[in-house]
Amino acid sequence: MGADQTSSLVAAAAAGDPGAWDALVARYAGVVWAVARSFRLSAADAADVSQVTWLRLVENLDQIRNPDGVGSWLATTARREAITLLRRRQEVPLPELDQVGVVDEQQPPPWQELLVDERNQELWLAFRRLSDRCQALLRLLVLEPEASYAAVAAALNVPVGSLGPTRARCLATLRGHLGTDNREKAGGT
Amino acid sequence: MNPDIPPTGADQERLPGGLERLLREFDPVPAIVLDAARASLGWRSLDWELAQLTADSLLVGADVRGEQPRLLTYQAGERAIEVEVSDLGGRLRILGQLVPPQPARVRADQPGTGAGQDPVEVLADPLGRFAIRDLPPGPTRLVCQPLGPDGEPAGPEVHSEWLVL
Repeated sequence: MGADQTSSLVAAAAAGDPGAWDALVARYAGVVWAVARSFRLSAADAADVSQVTWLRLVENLDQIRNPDGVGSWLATTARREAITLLRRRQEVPLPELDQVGVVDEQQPPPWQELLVDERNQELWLAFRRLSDRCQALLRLLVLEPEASYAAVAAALNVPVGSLGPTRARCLATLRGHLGTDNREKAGGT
Repeated sequence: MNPDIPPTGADQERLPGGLERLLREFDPVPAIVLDAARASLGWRSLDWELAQLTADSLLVGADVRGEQPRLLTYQAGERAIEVEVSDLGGRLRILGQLVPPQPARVRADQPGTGAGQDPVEVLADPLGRFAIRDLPPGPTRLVCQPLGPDGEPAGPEVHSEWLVL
């Protein structure tokens, strides 16, 4: 979806068009959710972050200065809310990455079925060994492939220009993990 | 497409086969979260003043303890809503002060409490003090309708920004 379409969706939603609003939600809900989850918030906390982010967009629909950049606006808002919520949860120790199991009990069965495949499991373990930052970046770039690098940069609070080099470094690390973990060839290259 | 953005797609090293699908399908947005996002548009209202969060005790000072009440200030021009939010066994108590002091109806809007459930509404006394007890935590905004001496609405409603309380 191009920037023109995004800004016209924002304008239509501001005029009260529920279809345009739903289209914005469909477009960006995954990014907002992924930003919240990238801070390792629980599903309940991430749901609150997501909801408050969308409510804030509603109350600011008329005031968004750059409707083309609504993805960045949402990512930034979700990031701030997630950080605030994280401060309240700081007495709860964050789980160590190594303790993250292959199968996440919070995930519905279709996701777990993907991990039955041995190759997927190896990939997933290698991915989960990456830094939080790499995991968030790779995931957000998949969810937000072309519409807005700016939104991904806003979500991670880094310059847009750093995304490409960081992505390359993360992938190199991932391949390293796959190479040491697996006797089999990593493939996909 | 913005020409300033870094190259993507074919210009970049590809993800290892299968990873893209995993990342797409991992941790999907729960249906209830999607529904809540869609329903957010229903909370739009017109003819009100937005009181923006200008102070949050959570965001200042390194020593934050869960036991301490959270102090928030929302500001709309010369008017302010100051609140102290305490977590009492998983339920919230909000003690508030309107500035300048004035009587008002104060409502706590909470989308998470379920459809058909009336929001909690209390009266601020003539000194602008109010108390809301036994509120579930979650996204919340306070809506203040100032009242005149006759108890009738006087002036526009003031809405606080939405915040996860």
